[in-house]
Amino acid sequence: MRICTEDLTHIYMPDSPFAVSAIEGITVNIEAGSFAAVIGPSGSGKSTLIQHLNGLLKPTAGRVVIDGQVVGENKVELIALRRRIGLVFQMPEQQFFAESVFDEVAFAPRNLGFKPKQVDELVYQALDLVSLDWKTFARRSPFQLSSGQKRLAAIAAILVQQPEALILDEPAAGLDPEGRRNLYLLLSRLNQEKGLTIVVVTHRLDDLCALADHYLLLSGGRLVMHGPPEELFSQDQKLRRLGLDLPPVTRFMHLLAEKGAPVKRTVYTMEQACREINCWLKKETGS
Amino acid sequence: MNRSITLGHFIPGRSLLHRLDPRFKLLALLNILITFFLLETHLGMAVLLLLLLLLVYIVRVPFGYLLRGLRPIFYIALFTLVIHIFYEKGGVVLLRLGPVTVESAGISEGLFVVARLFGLVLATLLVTLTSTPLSLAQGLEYFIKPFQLIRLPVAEVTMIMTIALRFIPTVMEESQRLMRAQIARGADFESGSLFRKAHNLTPLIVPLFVSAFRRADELALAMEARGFCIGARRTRLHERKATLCDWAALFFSAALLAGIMVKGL
Repeated sequence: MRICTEDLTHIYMPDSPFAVSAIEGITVNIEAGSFAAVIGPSGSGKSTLIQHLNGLLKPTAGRVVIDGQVVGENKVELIALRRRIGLVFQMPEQQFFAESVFDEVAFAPRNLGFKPKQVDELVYQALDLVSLDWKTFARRSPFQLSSGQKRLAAIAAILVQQPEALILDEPAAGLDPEGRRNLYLLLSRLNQEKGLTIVVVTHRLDDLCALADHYLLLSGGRLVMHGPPEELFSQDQKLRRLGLDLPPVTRFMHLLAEKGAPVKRTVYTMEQACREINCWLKKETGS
Repeated sequence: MNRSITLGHFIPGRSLLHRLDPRFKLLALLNILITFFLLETHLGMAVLLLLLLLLVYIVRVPFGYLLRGLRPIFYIALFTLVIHIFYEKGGVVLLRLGPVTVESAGISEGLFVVARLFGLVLATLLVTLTSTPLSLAQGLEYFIKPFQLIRLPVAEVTMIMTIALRFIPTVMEESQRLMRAQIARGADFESGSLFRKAHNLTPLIVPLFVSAFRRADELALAMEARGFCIGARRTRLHERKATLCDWAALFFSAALLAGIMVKGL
């Protein structure tokens, strides 16, 4: 699913002394099947931007275009659109209200009027997709899961609508390392195997951005930079000015390069760093 | 996000009214409200309204914002006006529709009551526009202090009020966020019968309660960690001292009240 915005502007509480413009003139283009990361410090308008993408917020100016169709005001179309673009909010496990994981995930298909049998089918598919064993989890209370499992269940509650695109707001926030790993695996699987267009929002440059093939950098409600991640990770000075820190691995490689080591600076995963350093050491011992 | 939903109509500023001590502001408001009820002549009403408009000018509230605050009483005002126009008799007959007449006393009396209505709301608005809910709560604390004598836990009541006021915007923001999150999952909060609508609110209310309890727990712990203790005497970091301006405002409003009473305006 191709998601575009044209000159998108949103002002909170317009016509009052508290009017704040959260985003201003943002034009982005997220190709179908791509994996985009929206990056920016807190208050840069990331969450506001993504809530426009499935029509939860109405733009003050500009428009959102999904697959060539302008997002309008029509209620029926909006409901259909929200099914096609799944939006996972920050800390989605805070939305839990049902007595079992099954009911929690079944909320959306029941709202959409599916028959009980189809609902079962969809729920089990969704739980499968996020690798939660439904035999163990379906009857449990969602409040009793671990934080990582809660996050997965919350994502399943969105995936059950079988969206074509998935937008996640700070999906890794508050997760332990294992939970993060599972989440990253899930996201890249959804993107590569299921062909879902994925947009993640994050305020930190970390492994999450490394998954993406395209980034959008927001600052003060404006789109500052966009392009492939390699480009982003080479702009140390600019990022720092915007209040963003490079991941430790990348900073380490920058330091190595400054000391004269012949290594690439634009490295953002452990594996890449290992490869680079191995290469360098081999060269050293070879000569 | 640095955007905050403010309770009431408070507008940050540095005007004379903003700087007044909330206790004095409340007392002065009381004086003015009583004055509005005691007024008997159109001249007095006009003078008082003009004074209020002068205050509006001093506070520098955007006019549209003020009108929005007054909007809820437009219908009440209209209703009152119509009732008075048709039922108050006296003076010159201006219009005759069969047995129904509109007479000049009706119009003048109706306008007077409407002016009083707007005056009352405008005066109150001027106070809520220029003081934070929190400072008003603290002002109120001062006035209910004497009830300590009859064993009313004044400090606790004020603490409850302060916490409630502090968290109203937070909970409001949270409920909006939750609403959008559940809409993204296909929730419908708008259509259906009343019963259906109430039932549809479950996905909103349950998480709201869950987070309210969690927040209350955390807040209680944080307060205890900082030495909060029920029944202990609490002091404030910034004790307010009444300034000359505060006394002047109180004196002026009282003088207004006394003047109206004596002169019979």
